[in-house]
Amino acid sequence: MIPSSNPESQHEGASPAEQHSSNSVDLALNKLAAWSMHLAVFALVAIVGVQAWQVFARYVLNDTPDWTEPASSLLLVTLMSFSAAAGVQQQSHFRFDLLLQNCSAIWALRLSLIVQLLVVASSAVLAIAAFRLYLDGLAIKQAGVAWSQGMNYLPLAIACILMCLFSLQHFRKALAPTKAPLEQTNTAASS
Amino acid sequence: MSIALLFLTFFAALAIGLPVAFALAFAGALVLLTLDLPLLTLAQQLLSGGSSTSLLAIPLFVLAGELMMRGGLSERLIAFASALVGHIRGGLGQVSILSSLFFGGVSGSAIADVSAVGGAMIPQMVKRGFHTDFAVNVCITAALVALLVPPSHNLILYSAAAGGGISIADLFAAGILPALLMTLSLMITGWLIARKRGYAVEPFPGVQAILLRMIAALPAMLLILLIFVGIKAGIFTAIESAAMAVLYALALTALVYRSLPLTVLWEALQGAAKTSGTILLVIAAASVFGWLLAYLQVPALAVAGLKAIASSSWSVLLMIVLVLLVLGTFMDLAPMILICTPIFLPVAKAFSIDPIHFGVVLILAGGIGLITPPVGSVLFVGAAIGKIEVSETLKSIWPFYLSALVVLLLVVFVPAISLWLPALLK
Repeated sequence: MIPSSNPESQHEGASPAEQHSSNSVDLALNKLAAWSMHLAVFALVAIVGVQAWQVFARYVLNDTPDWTEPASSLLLVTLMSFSAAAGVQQQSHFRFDLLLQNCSAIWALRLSLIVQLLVVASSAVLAIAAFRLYLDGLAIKQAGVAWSQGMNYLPLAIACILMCLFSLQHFRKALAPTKAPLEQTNTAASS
Repeated sequence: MSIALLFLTFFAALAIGLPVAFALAFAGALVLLTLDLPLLTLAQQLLSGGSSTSLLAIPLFVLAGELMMRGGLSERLIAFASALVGHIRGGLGQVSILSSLFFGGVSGSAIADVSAVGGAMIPQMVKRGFHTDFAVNVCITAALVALLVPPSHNLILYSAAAGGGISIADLFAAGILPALLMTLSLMITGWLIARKRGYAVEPFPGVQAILLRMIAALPAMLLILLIFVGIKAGIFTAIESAAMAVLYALALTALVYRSLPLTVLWEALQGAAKTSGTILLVIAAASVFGWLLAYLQVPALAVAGLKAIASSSWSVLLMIVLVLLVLGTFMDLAPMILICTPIFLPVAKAFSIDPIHFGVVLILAGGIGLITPPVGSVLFVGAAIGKIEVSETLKSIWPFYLSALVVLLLVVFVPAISLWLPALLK
């Protein structure tokens, strides 16, 4: 894993105003990631509740509910999407760092920037596609529940937007501390 | 051409450090574009893969495992294992192996197993005079057992990757004998090394102490029974049994043992949500990949290709095992199951290999990859706990590798090891 940079030490070359605005952006994004995880936890707890109710209703009430399957499915997508979005911010997704660990610092930086851009691109494509499918499915009723089929795509669409934002945050963080050394390198090269 | 592009893009993206789920989605998007297929397919397939109700069991079993682990049940299981086998040559090494079997039945995950059992046992073993490399090697290879005992997430994952048509209960039953065989094989290996290195034994605690510790550990072990009997008797579906496991773990740790304060409960919930989200996104992205493999007729090509070079089901299975062992050295188990199942399962079926037998072989072969460099997550976790260089552990791990490979070959060549119990319980 590439450790994420320390926000305190990243903006040494930036003006106080720039530092303030980037810190507040970071704070806002960190809060979004925390809320994203809270939503995922809520979905997880709700899945337990729904499944337990299914057993209770079948054996005690003798009435198997038909809403539990679509509800569990929506909760599962919510859990996956928002936890995965928080995972982008915490950089906790499965990945292989062999090349990054064994190349020079400047190449490691270039590769990590490319990686963040690819995450942004993939998430953006997914967000647009999921949002279109959400709109397309709004009119289609889903059996057993009050919401439409399109609803299943909404958590994915929102979470993919969050993934874009979190990845851009890492992109900016990765770029920030190298400004000064890069400038120094350029000056040294030109002299 | 598209097949090559799909695999090349995927492996190139992995190599530069793109997370597996995004590498799968990115390669899928690129191939969809070259095939002039709409990008909406990406989200459609991703969602259909990620929202499949058969996957609901995964986050629930992960949560049950987190609750048990953070609620202090691992200590009770280790104490029981210690009373049972601590007096055998290699004492604490044997305890680690048996604890892994017990704890695997609670967590269903090799990483959780090595974190919980290794975290407790490796420092203790080092303190009592065992070499660190031995302590780490015992714990990481023993963690493989967790891949096979119910409620293994990987067996659920295999069932989902196979299209959900394979019974999770049968897979759970199929993993039990190979897991016991692996435990026995590792215990013999540990005993031989301990004899050679002259490690001490623990004093026999007496029958009364064994019984007392068994009573303390019994509620944790009953969880396996609850899951297994619940599904087999048709009382619960696999998903419902996972939800019951969560409620049971919660009641046990919070109400009976009173070892789960709210802060720890919150940590367990967050830990489970985080792990589940990571796994589920890979599953969802792999379903895009799987859809493209089917669209490009890769499984049919693989069947035709292997039919041309292999004559019997054994030779095919051996070839697949070799591929899996090589893939396992640089690929994590979950993505490997999700990518390899749609390719190799049709091949196995074409050669009349039972899908349940094949699933156990796939998990075991891929699992060995978890303890091999360069990408062996269990190996890294174990080495980190033991504060030892990975290269140091590798110098003396070969007897354990050999032992795991012998078990793998036995499972490959004797299908009854995995198929006898599911048939018996039908």
